[in-house]
Amino acid sequence: MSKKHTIFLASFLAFLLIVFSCLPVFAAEASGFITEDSPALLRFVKNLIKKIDFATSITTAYDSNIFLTEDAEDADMITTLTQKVSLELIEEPFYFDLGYTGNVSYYIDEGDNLHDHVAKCIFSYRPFENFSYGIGNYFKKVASKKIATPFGDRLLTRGYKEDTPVFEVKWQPRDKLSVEYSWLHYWLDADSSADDFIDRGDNSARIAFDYEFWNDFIGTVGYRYYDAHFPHRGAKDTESSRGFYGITKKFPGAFNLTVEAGNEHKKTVYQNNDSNIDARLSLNTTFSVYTIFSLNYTYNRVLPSARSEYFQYFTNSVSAGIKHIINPKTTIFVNGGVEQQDFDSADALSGQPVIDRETEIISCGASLRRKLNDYLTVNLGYEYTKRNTDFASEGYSDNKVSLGVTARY
Amino acid sequence: MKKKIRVIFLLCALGCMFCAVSFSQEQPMTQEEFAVELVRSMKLHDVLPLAALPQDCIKLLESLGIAPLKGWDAKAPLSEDDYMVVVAKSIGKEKMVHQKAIEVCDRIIYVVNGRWQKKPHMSLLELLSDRSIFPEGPPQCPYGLRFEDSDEDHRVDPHYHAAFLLK
Repeated sequence: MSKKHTIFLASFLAFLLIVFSCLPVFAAEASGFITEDSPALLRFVKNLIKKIDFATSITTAYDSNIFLTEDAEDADMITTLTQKVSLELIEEPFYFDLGYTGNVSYYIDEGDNLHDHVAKCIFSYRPFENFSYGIGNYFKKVASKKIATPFGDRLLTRGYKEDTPVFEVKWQPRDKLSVEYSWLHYWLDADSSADDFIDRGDNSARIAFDYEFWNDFIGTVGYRYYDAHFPHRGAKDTESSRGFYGITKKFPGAFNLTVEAGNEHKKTVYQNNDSNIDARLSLNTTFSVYTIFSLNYTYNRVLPSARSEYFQYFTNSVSAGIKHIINPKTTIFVNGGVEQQDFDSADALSGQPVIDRETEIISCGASLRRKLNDYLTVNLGYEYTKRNTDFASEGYSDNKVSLGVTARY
Repeated sequence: MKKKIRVIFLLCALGCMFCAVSFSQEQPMTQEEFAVELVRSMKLHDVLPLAALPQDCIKLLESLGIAPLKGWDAKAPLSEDDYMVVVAKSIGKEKMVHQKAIEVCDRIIYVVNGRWQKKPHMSLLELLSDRSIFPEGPPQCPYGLRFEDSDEDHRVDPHYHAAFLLK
């Protein structure tokens, strides 16, 4: 049994252990055994269990191209078991959230498994009405032998681990002014030594000032420092500082519009004083609880590359999504987006071809969620992805249809 | 049946909360204080930012389409009308809220136009401020829009609220 099987099995057994250890307490509570006079420990366990949410879902999907290849597409049926446990404690002004989600996907024809684990832990505290801080950690592990996973500007055939500790402070010294400071460290480790060059340890610090000029008009100005460090490929290291300015205009009862522009200065091994201007726009409707539409556009955003040929790439993307509640039990989601990634010849690493390259990713999807009762939900979904790229053998198209049931208890 | 019980329970809990806070303090409850309580009641904490302030609760509710008809005004006292609108929207009774609000707005325009025909020598501002016609002060559109006569035909311009699609 491999290490990842052991980890998944151990987590699943822990999950079962938690569920079954709770049963006597549930039974005791149902029979009226636990009262105000019961031992404090028993009452504490009862109250704690009440705050734990469990969810299990089983999804069957048909995927037309499991290896995401350009030719010789291989279709397969996939059965995915998802388990989710979360503990949320809200005692104003404290908030604590601990959660774990584990997936195991079994590929029937291929006989392969894909595992992923996501965990988070959050604590926040608001000691004063106008001051709040929070710390959190987000962990993700994806494990696979052969199944390809889209990862930023490339496809990753093997697994990886990500961990992101975050710290955030927000202060509102005046009614109309708020200051937000956040710091995060992003850590990435690829499982295979062949992909070690994408291993990263990034630091980011950001400060933003929001000022409400009028009730429906907010201005933002801020600064972000970012440092991307690649321990196995020092040539990809970058250090950047970005000033940004934005406005949010609210149209009460209609929609909110946010526009932001940034000016970034970078220091890299190859370009000591590179600069870049980027912009983003987002629009969210606010006119209805039943129908929520959002539109996001990003122009000329620059990101560290996970490829061996370049140290950075530029991305332009537009995406839109709509959520509509058809009736209290049925909700439909539709989304779509286009992303264009540009790889500049000036950003090629030494020893690599000095040429411009481009990747275009088109994706869309729809899903229908039907609540059967308070505990059971059925989900029917469809996803389509098309990737056109100048990188050899990396273009593909993929269709996926899925049907799943989720139980919450 | 269970859903109805939940809705009634939520309404009662929010009502008690509103009354308790309103009567126990000299200062009336502000809209942002109510937004914090509502986010807690709806168990939406997990989608708030890590370090969240009351204004983040307002932003979150706004993104879900839950807001008073005139929009959120964080430091303004929570009026009974705003409270009813927000609670009704949060339990999915948005259509009813808009139907009533648009009816009220249409009715006000109808009454103002009727009075104006009888007193055509008055300007719209004078008419709306005339205490003998509107003893409780100038009438207000539930959505906070102004009454205007842009084409000067002595008739108030109709309001096209974004929510007309729901009517």
